[in-house]
Amino acid sequence: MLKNHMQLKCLISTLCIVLFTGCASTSKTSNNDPHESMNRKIYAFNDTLDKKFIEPVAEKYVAVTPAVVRKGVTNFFDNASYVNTITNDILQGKPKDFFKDTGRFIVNSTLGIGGLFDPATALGMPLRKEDLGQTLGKWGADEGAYLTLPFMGPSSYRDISAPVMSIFTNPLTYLAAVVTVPAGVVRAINSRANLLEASRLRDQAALDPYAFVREAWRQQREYSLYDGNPPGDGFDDFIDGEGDAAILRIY
Amino acid sequence: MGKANFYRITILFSILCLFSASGWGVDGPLDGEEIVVNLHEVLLTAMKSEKSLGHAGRIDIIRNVVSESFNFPLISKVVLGEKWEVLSHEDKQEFVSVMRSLSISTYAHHFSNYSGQKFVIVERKSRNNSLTLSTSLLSDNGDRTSLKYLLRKNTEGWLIVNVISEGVSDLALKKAEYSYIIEKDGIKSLLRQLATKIEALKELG
Repeated sequence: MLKNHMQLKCLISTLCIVLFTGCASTSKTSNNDPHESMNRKIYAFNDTLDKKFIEPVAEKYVAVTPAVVRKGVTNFFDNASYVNTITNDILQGKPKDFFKDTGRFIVNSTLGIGGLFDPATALGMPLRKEDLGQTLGKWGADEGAYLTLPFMGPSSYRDISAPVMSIFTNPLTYLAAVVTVPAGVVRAINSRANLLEASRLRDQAALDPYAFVREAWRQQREYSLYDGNPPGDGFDDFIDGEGDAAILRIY
Repeated sequence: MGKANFYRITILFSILCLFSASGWGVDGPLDGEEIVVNLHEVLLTAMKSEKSLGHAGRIDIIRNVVSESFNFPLISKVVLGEKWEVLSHEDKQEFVSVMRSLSISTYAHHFSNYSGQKFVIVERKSRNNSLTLSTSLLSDNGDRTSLKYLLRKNTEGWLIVNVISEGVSDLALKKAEYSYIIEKDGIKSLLRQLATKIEALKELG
């Protein structure tokens, strides 16, 4: 149930769940999912794994960790992965965003004590996310077929390479395994914890969670690709030969 | 009343009429905007209502405004696509009714708590019988959630046909989900599952 704005945001942003099991206009009439049968099996596998192991761990983590600590952990990992956004700003030819995001990274890495705090947002440099999938989209690559990846959730032919780039642009990748492995585990649990409310909302709203997640993810990707202004007015579905009057005649 | 006063009042009245005609004309795109503003006001009322009212009480508050603000027959047709055409008249009516109940129940469930939120209109774009109203839900901590309303005008006036939240279309989600269920199990199964969902929302409060 939505008891505060964050929860409301979770719901209304569709319940746009990028969850472990997964989390992009009605203008998309095709679901672009030729591998649906296989994707559903992988979704079910991910979902089972999540419900039995990951979600309970994330719930325990939330129970024993103060919100301020979890916020710091989220800030830290967001900041550590920000070189990926900055690199994709360049690849997409966005000089203004490049300078702003670079400023954010410098401010949060210094004043924000290694990224634990986020003073940059208050200084007018809010968190943005760009990745290789968005860059390929800007360059004209079609999204290709929808995919559900084991352990990772929703993706597409175009977006499948995005996590690879984000690993190589993350400074934590180049530290010793004794640091990167535990850091990776903490990041995964913290990320899942941040999606607990969203996953509950998905479970409440969806009749077919797989289709729900696929559609939400695809629309969210399109929304991100166009920086919040996707083409089309959204009325494509309402324009037919008969128009709205045909419906009203029925009632 | 002196002649001068009479002229002043006449001029003032004429100006008021002119203002009214330009702002709330017969074609009145503002009518569409009012539909959304009114919906937001009632949702805020439900959010601010006494906790003791519960889910049923909030449904009483929002039932009329949701029923009168959305074009549920058109929404139902678009959601079901080709499958709509093969439904019997009774199934169509039942589906429209269930869609209405689901929307009312969903709003009553999710808009249950007030902590300083407010709605603002950001942009409006109109074309023929279509209106797109971009709004934001603002929280007191500065968070902003984009809510875009698509409205169509028919003989009964302006009605909402879709809500797009942070780029995600409610209609598209339902379309994707429901078409698979109908394909697999048929319309009766979909109607049963929707009824179960409405009951579940009621129990959650």
